[in-house]
Amino acid sequence: MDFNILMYFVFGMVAIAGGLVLLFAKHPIKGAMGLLVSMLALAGLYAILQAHSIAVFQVIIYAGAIMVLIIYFLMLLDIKSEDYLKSYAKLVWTGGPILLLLAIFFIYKLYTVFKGQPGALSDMSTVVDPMTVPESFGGIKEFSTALLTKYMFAFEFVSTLLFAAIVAVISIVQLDWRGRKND
Amino acid sequence: MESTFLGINTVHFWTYLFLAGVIFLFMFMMGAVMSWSERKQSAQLQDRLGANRAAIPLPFGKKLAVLGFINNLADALKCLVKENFKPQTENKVIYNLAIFFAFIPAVLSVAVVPFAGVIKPAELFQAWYLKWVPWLPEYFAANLPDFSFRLQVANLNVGLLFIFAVGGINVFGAILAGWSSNNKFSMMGGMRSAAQMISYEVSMGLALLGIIFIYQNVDIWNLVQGQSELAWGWLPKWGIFLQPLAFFLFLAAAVAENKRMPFDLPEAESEIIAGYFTEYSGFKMLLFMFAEFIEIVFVAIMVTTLFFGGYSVPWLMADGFHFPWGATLALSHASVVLLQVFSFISKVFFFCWLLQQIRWSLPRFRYDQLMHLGWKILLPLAILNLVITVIIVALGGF
Amino acid sequence: MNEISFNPTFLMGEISLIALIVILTLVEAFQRPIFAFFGTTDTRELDARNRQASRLASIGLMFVAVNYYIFGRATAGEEIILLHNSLKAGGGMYIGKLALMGAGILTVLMSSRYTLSQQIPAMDYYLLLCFSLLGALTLIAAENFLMIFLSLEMMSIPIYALVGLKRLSPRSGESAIKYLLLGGFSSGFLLLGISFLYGTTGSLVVSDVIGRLTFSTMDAASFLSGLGLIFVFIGLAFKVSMVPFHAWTPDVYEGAGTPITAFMSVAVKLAAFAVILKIFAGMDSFGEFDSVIGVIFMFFSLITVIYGNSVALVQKNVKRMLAYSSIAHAGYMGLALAPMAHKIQTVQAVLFYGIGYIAMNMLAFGVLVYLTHKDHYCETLDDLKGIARKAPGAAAMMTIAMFSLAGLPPAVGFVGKVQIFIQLLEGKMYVTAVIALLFSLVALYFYINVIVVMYMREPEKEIKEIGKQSLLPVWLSLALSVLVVILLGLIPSPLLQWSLKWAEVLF
Repeated sequence: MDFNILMYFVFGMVAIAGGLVLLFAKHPIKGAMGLLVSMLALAGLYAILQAHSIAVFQVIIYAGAIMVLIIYFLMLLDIKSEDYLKSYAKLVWTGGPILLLLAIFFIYKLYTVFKGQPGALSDMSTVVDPMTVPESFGGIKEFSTALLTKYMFAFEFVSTLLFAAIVAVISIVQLDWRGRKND
Repeated sequence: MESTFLGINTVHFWTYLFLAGVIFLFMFMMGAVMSWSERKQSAQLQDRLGANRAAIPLPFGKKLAVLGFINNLADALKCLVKENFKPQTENKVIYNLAIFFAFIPAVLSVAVVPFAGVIKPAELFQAWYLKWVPWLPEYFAANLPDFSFRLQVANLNVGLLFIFAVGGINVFGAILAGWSSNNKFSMMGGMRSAAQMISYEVSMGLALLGIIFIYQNVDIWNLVQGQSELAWGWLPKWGIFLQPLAFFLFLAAAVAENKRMPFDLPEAESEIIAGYFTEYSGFKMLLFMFAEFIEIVFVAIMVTTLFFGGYSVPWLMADGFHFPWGATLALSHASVVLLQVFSFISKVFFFCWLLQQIRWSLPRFRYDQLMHLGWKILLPLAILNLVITVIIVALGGF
Repeated sequence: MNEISFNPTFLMGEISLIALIVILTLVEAFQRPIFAFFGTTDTRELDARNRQASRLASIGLMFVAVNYYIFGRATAGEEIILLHNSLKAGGGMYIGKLALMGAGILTVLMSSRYTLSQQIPAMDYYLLLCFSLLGALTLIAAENFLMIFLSLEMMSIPIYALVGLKRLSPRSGESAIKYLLLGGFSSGFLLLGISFLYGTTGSLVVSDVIGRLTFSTMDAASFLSGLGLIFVFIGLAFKVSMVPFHAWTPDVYEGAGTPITAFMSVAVKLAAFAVILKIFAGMDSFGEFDSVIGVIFMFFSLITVIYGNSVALVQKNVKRMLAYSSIAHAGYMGLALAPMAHKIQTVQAVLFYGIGYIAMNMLAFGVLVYLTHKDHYCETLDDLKGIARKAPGAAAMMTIAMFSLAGLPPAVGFVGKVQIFIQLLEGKMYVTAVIALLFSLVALYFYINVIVVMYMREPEKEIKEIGKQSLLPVWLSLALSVLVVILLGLIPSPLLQWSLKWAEVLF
């Protein structure tokens, strides 16, 4: 078996397992750890698909920055309340079966559809086969070139969006209880 | 016919596995050396003798102390047999997992650093001082005449970013250890270290952007290659000459990332016992300490690789020295490789010494001073450095 | 390869809006020196700052709109796609952007009174409003799914904060969190759908994606892209608050500041509907799946109309009532899509309805803002009792707004509804049309009820004098919207022409 394909399945399984931990963990921090594992596994998947830059940015941004923030705030909040767990458990018991049914339906549907057509995914995708892409694919140069030409407007727009988000957060945070601005 | 293992060339597989093992062992040895030199150097600075008591008793009343090296062995033994203290926590899994988050990134990031240039085994074992391995030269000459590899475990084209990525995961070690210990001091330590590491990661990354701009690369191999070129025919294009400001910024930020004095707020002994690893004892504590020592070595490796030409020796080419005044000195392949490895390791040792000297010379910052330095001094300076670099690069300066 | 150079007049609206945002930010940052320069020394006073900010923002936004009105006019002749398939500009997009800017201006005008009476830090408020408007402008122009997602976030994120900015009331914070969580949830759906579509077609550009979709056989690609389309629809249906994705609407509308509610109910709805139309109405490769999408639209829209109108009947709070009415209106707009005939007239009808809805809803909310002042919070029907005696002008305006919302003749709402019903009848959906008509008769009750309460009920307690704080801008906004409502109701053909042009751009 090809090493890449083996790792593809390993990372895929780990990503799904991380997602399940996120859903079913009793403690929010454990859920966050599940999410972290899922993110790292996704980075592994990207790396197997030759998208090195995206893999590394996935780790830097999601694992290194966003998950740190999430865990940091979960720690600051220090949720220990039993009520939280109870309500959450209720949610799982009511929503769980529905989700399970949906998941079974989804998997069954995918199974029947793919069984009818072996290799359907590779046919329908216009994306090139990851094994035959040129050496430079996914490198930082290609990544940056695409980012700053094809997606330049979106890139700049994201920076404006972040600015808007900063303004939004600051405007909320600097209010005191009377709704006045803290100077 | 090339044999393959899981779709990978067998020779490559075993070569890189061997290389990974060697470099892993090297990092461990360096960690051990650091824990020894930390004691000895602090003793020197404080006019003491340092560790010298632990010794192996020899016959005739002699003792084998080896300049205090035996203390390391004694420490390891002590940590192994000590009571494995378990705190009152509901989060045993995360408590134990935190050690790995602290330890693994420290060793992992060295994978992308080149320790020497291209090695051609067929040529390497031709040197007279390597002839004592009888069958190797023949084997390589007969089977793999063209086989060559780089003394670098993973040749990633995003190497520098990989280091940042792995460094980002490192933060979880401190946070999770602090949180899962169920101790207020640990918690504070974890909080402090998370805030500190995230703050300084920004300046660290920005300081290195100048390097990336000048050498037009994030591949560490190419960065080192770029640094082994010469400017004006005589000056090696080392990062320190082209980016002096970035060097100091990076050094400061890296020490802060390392949570060492003067930035050791997360484990300030006089305030919060030992910070995030207060509740760890025995071998777990040793692993935290060891991770810290390995991180020192890694900071030294980073400084060497990015600012001091990595393995490169001034004026040393693949076939020997070409001095700027015209003289040449031909060297065999094996000698060149050995010189490069020696150059790399001696630079790393120098910076390890420097980092420990800093650690024992400077007093600790207050927390507000730490944040002030990170966000209001290092960050603007890093941006200034970047802007100047970009202007010079755009004008075709380098 | 590098097609960065283009005629900037195509993006004049966005460019000048960004310039305004930059100016507002700088003024906020250097507020004290600027205030000192104009002789105002007491910069700590919130009221003084709010007045300055309101003046600056309303004049600035009007300038932006006038700028676009003058310079953008030339671009209405041709349509181009800019910046590597990021945005579409020119053509009938002109009227859409002007309508959204109009919504922004009306909001800003009525906000000056509201920020004063509710003690909201005004500069942040206007900045966020401008950001949201920018998001709405790029959302209707977005040509690929990436820009659709980013613009949707640009439009929504400032509104999450704006909803929570009214810290005097605890409900505001609650509704902000509600909106934020459900908004994040809907963005997740949208992203999942987009990733399915990208995975099956290999493109992010909307027209490419639609062109490559084939539903001739039910294979893996069709299954996944069908799922993707459904998820995209769910993500957008959250924004336009169609049943069953409406749960946030009443609470958020009630908790948010009244001008924000007004902006949310018109600009966000119109922009999100423009995207729904762009993705779903322009499709012609659906094959058998075509009728399925039509049935889905009919089903959801019909439920929305029924639910919105019947729940609005029992509301005691006018803002809540208007929230349910806005749900119902989303249903009417969606109904036009039910025939799925790929007719440009369908899109035209929806866009006309959306633009008309801006004017009438702004008018209704504007009256509420006018009646709200420091000591008197006008929200419930009880607050409106006998208000006609104290404020006859406002009551008259409210009457016009209610007539228009109910779809009665002299106002724009009538024309809009007629257009929708014509589309339904041409699509031979008689049962649907009858049900929708029935429920707009039901809606008559609660719209008329407001008028009855205002004119024929005795006030329960003494109504205080209407506060005099910056009344002029509110009057201006009321006058503008009532003018638009009546004018468009009497002479709808120019706007119908423009809607057709806009529909051509989207189609």
